[in-house]
Parts: sequence; C-alpha cells; structure tokens
Amino acid sequence: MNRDDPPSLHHWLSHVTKSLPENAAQTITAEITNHFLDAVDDYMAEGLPKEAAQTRALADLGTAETINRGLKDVYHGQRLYKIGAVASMSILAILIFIPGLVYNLWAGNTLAIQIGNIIVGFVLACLTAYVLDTLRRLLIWRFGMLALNRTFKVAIASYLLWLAADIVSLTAYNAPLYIGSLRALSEAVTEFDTVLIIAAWIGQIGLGINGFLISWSLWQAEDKLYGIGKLLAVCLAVMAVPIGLSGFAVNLGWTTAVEFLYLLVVMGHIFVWPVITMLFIRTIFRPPTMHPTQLA
Amino acid sequence: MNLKGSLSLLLLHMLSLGPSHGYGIAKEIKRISEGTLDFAEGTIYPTLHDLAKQGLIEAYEEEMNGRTRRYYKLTGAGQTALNQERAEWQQFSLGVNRILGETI
Repeated sequence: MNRDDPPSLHHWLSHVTKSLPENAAQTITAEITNHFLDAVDDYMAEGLPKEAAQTRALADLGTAETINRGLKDVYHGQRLYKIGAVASMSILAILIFIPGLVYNLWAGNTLAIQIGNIIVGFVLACLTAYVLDTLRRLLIWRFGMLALNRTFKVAIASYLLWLAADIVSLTAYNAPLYIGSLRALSEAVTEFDTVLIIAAWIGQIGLGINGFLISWSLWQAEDKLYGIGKLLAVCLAVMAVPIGLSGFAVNLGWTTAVEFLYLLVVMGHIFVWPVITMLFIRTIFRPPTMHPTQLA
Repeated sequence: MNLKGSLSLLLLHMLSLGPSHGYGIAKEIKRISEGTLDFAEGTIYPTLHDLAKQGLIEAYEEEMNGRTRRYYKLTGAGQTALNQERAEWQQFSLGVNRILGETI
C-alpha cells in the first residue's frame, strides 16, 4: 500500500481482503492498488482533477463485498466444501447406526446409555451446525444468495436451542434424544421441565419457519444449484417444516399427526444429508469460473 | 451488463492475445466491446485468481514505470480450456441465433 493512496481505497481494500489468507490478502492489495493507480493516471491524463479521478477509479472497481465473496470462495471454498461433504454423510451415518449401537453395547446400563446419547447429541449438534453453516457460505459465496444469510443463522440458532433443550431433558429426565422435548406442556414434571419444553418448542418453530423460507428460496433459485436446487428445497422442507409443526400437534393431542410428522422428519433426514453432500461434491468439481458467473 | 457464464471465456481469450495485468484486461474488454460490456472491474480478480489456482493461467510479477505489476499468461491447459469454452459458446450462440432467425 502506497503512503499516498487515499483512505477510501484503504477502507475498500480492507473489505475486499477480509478473512482471506495473509499471503492472498497481500497479493490482492498490491494488485488492486496498482489497478487503481493506473486508472487514476488514465483519468488524470483525460483531464480530470486528481480527487475526481480517484473517486471515479474507485467506483469503477465495484462493490468490495461482492469481490470479497468471490475471493473467499476461491481461497476457502474447496477445503470447506470437502469437509462439509464428509460431515454431512457422517450425520446420516450417526443417525442410522450409533443410537442402536449405544443401546446394544450398554444394554441395561441406563447411565452408560444416557452418557452415550448425550455425546451423540453433542456430536450431531456440532456436525449439523457446521454443515448448515457451510451450506450458507456456499449459497452466499458461490451463488450470491445474500438474502439467506440471516435466515440460515436463525435456523442454526433455533436448531441448537432445540437440541440443547433435548440434551438437558435427556440428562434431567432420561427422555429419549430428539423427541425428549416433544412432549405436551401438561406432561411437564417440574417448572424447569416446562422451561425446557417451551425452549425446545421455540427452537422447533424457528427451525420450521426458517427451514421453509430457505426451501422456498432454493426452489426459486435462478441458478438451479447445479440442477439439484429443487430436490434440496423439497428435502429441507420435508425435514424442517414438520419439526415446526410437531410442537403444536403434541400440545393439541393429535397423536396420529405427531406420528405422521415424525415420519416426515425421519424421511427428510434420510434424504437431505446425501443431497447436501451431492451439492458440495458438485461444487468441488465445478470451479466458480466454469459455471454461470455474474460479472457486474 | 450481466455476462452469465462468459467471464472465464473472456479472460482466457484476452490472455491468449498476450500476457496482461488485471487493469489491462478490464480496459481491453471495455475498449473492444465499445462499452457494451460495462462491468465492475474488481470482479475480474476472483476469476483471475481461480483460473491461476486451476493452472489455466500463470501469474508473474514485472516492474513497469516504477510499479510492480502482477501479469498473467495463458498455460497449455488454459489454451485447451479456452478452445473447449469457445466451442461451447459458439454452439450456444448459434442455437440462439437460429431461434431468433438470424445468421452468424
């Protein structure tokens, strides 16, 4: 960075290089600074005063945030999407195999089963939050779906609230994982249990609403997400929306509806993680420059 | 202007004409297209860096007029990718022109 560079360029470059590896940030700073200085020289040669030339050269470069997202996809994307693909399939494997394994290994030992389930719940929470956050980054960096940023964050927070309430229910009342909090308020054993059920219910509703909003955006995505946008939208909706509705069904005493919603949630889980994995894999093998890219 | 899917093709083509730096490429695209392709110049950098990571172009530094510039040049793999992308683009535009009843 030259000492004579205007502060606005410095500020703009700090946004462009935000969260990039140090080496890449230095290269890009030097590269774009020279681009800027060349443009200023050309505008001044055309007769513009220095300040106007600098303003125009900076405006020509465009929005710093857009360039930053593209660079993050280039410098962080590949590693993140690979880990995301592995984590996504790990969630499915854990959901299918581990709970049964825990019950078989420690049959009759309630404490061991409880501890096993808490560990499983914690690992699942971490993996799910990671995969959803990686999916959020992919959709924003690669596909420019900025509107989903907050929706994803609220969905992840809701999921964590729900699972945290479940894990505490499991610890305090030996309730089964994932459905421990799926109880009517009238079934609450203590006041603390009431708080847990309400917290889980809020989490479920948050996940249901935001899951639906994400699904709707994916369904309408212009970019089609390598041809699987609609499939992902359906799987996410099938997983998330019934979760949002289940608390109402339980409290209204609609047993058949609860069972049906639970079946949908299980079906959603079986399909959504392989589809997310497929999206990550397709992203890894299709670099950003080899698919529709918005230049402006 | 929205140039969906054509950025890498444009950059590879510009570099097939000879090594250049980001500003030079952006300026040439605007000049040759006579302002039709008016775009935010900074948006070419993510694609340039990605093409370099893929080995389709190669970056090197050179000093000119007291400034160290980062130049890019096309590699053999880049030439192959350019030929492939160019063929796809020509096929695509041929199809569109046929529908519009025009000739190339």
